[in-house]
Amino acid sequence: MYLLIVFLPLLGSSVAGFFGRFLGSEGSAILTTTCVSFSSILSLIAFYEVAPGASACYLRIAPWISSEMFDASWGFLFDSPTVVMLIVVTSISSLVHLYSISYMSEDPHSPRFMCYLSILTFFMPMLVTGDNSLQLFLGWEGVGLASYLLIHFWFTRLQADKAATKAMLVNRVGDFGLAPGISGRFTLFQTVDFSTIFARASAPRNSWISCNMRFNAISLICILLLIGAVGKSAQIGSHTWSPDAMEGPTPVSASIHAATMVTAGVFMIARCSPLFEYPPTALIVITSAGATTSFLAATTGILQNDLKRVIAYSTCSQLGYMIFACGISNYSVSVFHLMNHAFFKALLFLSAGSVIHAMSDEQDMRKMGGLASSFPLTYAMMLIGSLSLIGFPFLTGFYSKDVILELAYTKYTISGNFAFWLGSISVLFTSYYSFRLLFLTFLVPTNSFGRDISRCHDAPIPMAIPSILLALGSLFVGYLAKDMMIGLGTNFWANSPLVLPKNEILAESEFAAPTITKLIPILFSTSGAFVAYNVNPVADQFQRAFQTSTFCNRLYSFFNKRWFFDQVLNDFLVRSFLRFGYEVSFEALDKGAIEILGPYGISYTFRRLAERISQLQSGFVYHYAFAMLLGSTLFVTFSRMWDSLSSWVDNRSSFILIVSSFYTKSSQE
Amino acid sequence: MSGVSTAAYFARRAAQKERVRILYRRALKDTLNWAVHRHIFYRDACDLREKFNANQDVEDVDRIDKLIAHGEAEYDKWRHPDPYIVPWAPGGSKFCRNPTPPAEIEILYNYGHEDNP
Repeated sequence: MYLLIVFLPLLGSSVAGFFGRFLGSEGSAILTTTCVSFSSILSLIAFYEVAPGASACYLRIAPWISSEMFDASWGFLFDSPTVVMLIVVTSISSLVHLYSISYMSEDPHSPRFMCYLSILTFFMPMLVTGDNSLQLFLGWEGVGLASYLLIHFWFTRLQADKAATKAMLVNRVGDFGLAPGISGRFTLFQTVDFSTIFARASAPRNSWISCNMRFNAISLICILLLIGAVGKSAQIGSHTWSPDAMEGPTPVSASIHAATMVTAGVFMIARCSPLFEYPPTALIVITSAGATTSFLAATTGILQNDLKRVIAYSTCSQLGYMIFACGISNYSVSVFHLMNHAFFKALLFLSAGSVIHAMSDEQDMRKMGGLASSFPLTYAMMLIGSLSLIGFPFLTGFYSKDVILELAYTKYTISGNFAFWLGSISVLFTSYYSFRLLFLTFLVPTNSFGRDISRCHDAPIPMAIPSILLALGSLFVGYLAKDMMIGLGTNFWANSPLVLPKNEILAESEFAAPTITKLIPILFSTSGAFVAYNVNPVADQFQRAFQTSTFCNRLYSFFNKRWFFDQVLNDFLVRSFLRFGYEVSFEALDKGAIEILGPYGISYTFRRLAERISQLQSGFVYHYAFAMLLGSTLFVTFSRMWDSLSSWVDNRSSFILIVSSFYTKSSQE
Repeated sequence: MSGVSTAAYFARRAAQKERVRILYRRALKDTLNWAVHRHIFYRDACDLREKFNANQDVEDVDRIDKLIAHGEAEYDKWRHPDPYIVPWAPGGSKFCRNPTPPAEIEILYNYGHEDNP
């Protein structure tokens, strides 16, 4: 049963991919949706057995790589964080499959789409159930591949090609940190198996001293792993792929960029919590990165005009919350927020998809408005998702988001306070852009074209049902699961996320944090909503300021153009790396090496050798006499003195000297 | 000679009219990018029109060129960084999505079921 959770989506993907032409759009859609839905039901059963039933499951199937010390096997570990992730991934994915049946029904390539969605739903469970780093890495790369395939779905669009390549390459930059991290773990622990590594995580004392600073091996490894998480979870520096990934169809955004792929980085940190707990430096770096990302993404989201981009930046910001929750050693709260976020973010994306689908693929919020009366169900879903996102009291987001901020404050460290204040300001911006989205899309008098309004309709049943189910999750899952997952003294997680006693602050934040820290998020949310109301439906003086004040105009451009991160990265990094990749590593090294060592190189070398050797026949007798004299002198010298010279002369150097003499330029050339 | 200079004058004035027309249309569309709401747009569109109408009686061609250059510089300075583009137009969100295949390509829509259309 456990293996079916992982392999049923692979079955659906393979059949839809290879035989989709014969099954047709509907057949592929029904098959893949059924497979993933069964996987979701089985993951619920697995959750019941593993988490409340307190019996984790460990399946070792077959050896994979077994090479002396390096031993990686196909093993599947089902413990509490894994089954929580499986529920999130499979349930969101099955709802997205159901939604896509209707959303992509008019697309001629729907079977390929369903195949790609299912392959994502296969690789993500592979990632979360892996019992060793190599299997996690396999799933990691697989979800990156699935992300590329899905963003690239409408491959005839140049922008989609660019976005997919960007996503793949930026993820690869992150993998450039993750792979050395895994290798570093193998160097320290001589294994890639999680159980062994986590059992001995406190042991390594290796360090390296340079420039009067001590670099602990475990710190370096954790920072390398963080770089991997930064790439996958769109944190600062590697976040540029996330908004461009909105080139893919909306169900892709709901699946990958809300619930599935981007959470892989957070899960990896939570899974490796025994490793991350020991180096305090790494935790500070994680906290700072997460807090900065949440602030950066929130400020960028407030001035975006594309409906999906606003929600994409919101995802980025919330991932920043999850990462800094890990940084303050509260992995359980981070995974809880991950689960809650999956529900309301997927709801927001699916609702946005309903709006876009109804408005003839119009995505710009400036051409919407007044749609609340046209799509009451979609409006209700979007409202529920937005209220949950901003942490409206007693909805799902409230129970995780506000807890994270309280914990950040209660850490009583500089990094904790930094995270608290940046997180709180992000709450204000989150509330602002959420309400801005609602106002511009649904509530203000319409700014859209008549052709779109005349054809608009609310979501059909296959699109409405997933939205309703996700709305129920956005309303109630937080309240229902809070005591189980983040309640004081809960044994839900068993021993999976390790928190050292010195880092445990849950009780402190629950009872000893000042009340004002608990009220600040709500106050900021309310003020964000108030400002959004005054700016957006009314908007006179603010809009005029952007057109008359140079400072306001530049501020608008700065936030709208994502802090000019793309321009700076492209101009200073990307172009030079692309040039290196083409001119040096491809032209000179790859192609160059093949040309030197391949057929062309061999024929060229022998032709040159023949030309040089033929030049020895100069026609002058004194040249020949000199050559004979030189040769005989060298022969006599070496033969007489070989006994003393042999220890100093390497025979191979004489060969190199002879060969290189044919390449030296002669004066005649 | 005077006929040539008159023709040159009228050609220059015609080119200026075209530049003004293009500038006005672009500025109006850009105003709509900033002014999301109609009541704000109507007000801003009227202000823009008044700015153009204030110079409509200028006859000196060199001064007209300077005014147009100034207008174009103002437009470039205050241009919206994220202009609205119709989804199916180049640069839009739907451009080149599932384009119509070339006519030369034969497509079988009912593969395996040709007997049952």
